[in-house]
Amino acid sequence: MLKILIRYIAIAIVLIAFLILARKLNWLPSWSDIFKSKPVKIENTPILVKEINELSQLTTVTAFDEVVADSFRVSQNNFSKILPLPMPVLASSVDRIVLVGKGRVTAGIDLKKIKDSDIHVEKDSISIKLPQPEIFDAILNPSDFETFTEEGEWTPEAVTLVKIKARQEMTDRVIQQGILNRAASKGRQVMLNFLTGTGFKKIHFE
Amino acid sequence: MAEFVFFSASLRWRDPPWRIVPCFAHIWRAPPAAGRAKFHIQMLNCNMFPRILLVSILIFCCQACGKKNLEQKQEILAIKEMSDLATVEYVVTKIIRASDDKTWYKFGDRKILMSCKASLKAGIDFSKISESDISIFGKEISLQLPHARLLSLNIRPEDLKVEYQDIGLLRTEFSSQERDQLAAQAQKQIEGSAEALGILQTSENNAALFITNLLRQMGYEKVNVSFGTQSNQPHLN
Repeated sequence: MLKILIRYIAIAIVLIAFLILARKLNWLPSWSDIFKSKPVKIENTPILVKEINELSQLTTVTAFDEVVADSFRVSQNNFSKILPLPMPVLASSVDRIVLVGKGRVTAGIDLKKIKDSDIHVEKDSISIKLPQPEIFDAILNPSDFETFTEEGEWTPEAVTLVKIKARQEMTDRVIQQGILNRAASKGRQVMLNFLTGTGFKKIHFE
Repeated sequence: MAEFVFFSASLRWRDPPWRIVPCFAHIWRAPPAAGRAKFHIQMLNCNMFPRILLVSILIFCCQACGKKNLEQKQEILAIKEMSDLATVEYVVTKIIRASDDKTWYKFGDRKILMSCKASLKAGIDFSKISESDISIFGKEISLQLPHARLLSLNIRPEDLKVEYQDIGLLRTEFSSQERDQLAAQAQKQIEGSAEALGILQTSENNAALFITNLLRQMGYEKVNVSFGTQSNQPHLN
């Protein structure tokens, strides 16, 4: 009886020693790795070019901002689907989604809008009418979003609406901070430097 | 008749109200000297308490408004001035295909198929054109422009669509965060293949064309545009 017990203990010790050695030599994954879910990776699919557009956008200001957008709705909970309860408070729950987005808004002058009649040159002096500044892009890419809370089932279309709301809020805030005025003044400065470099002594912006 | 007594005092802008309030009748500001704003204060020997109270309230209100404006200005994280001339935009599409069946303890698998449209903009940095890059001989001008680079990549939320999902009986649907993580991988793949799409070369061609036309409008008859020797690697700000 004692011999059998000693034999089992010896086998257990050898097994434990083998497992420890195998882990040390990286033959076995760590315990945390075993229970860690594997990251989902996308396949390498081709990229198709749909359009090529010619631009002349002088981006003079970029504003970086962080926005929070949320949405909520009252929905029937799963419990009420199984057991129809008379009390509406117990039968319903609030679904909520809160997204945090870190993006940027670019603004500047579209030089494509300069017409021949907007430029007047006389010897070494030039008069140029620059177009009004405008917002070019409000960039909030998928990697710029963080889901703070997602309670309940939200369809991709509903999440897209929340993201559009976040982008609109970011753009409005940036415009309120006077990004267009800064874009205009910086645009004039950039053009002034360029025109001075190209040999003009007197430069006038209309 | 009220009796006037004149004196002048040197006060800091941030001095507490009790230093300046008790003797206000009329205030005018002299030009600042050595970082200090000088106030000339005219003192009136009469019962001024209601006016003093009114001026104190006004000062506190102004200070409060100043703080509020400062807080509003801090809302935006950063504003960066730049001089990038975007000369081309590529609109590209990509199918995002993923299968979540690698984790051994999750029974059943789930698959997703999404489509995305991205806009890539490339151009040149106008601020890198220095006077040494420009040479003028009468009506002939030569410019050396910096090489084009990728300026922005924009995947608008509405351009990302879930086309198909296959969710196993024991699995939950892909959450918003999981879908964003998959789209972020696609974003990286698009960014990485920007050069292979030829966007930088197209951008340089367009930049040369634009600058040539602009300088011809300004009266130059011959325009030579070349590009610098800096590395031609796509990178985003």
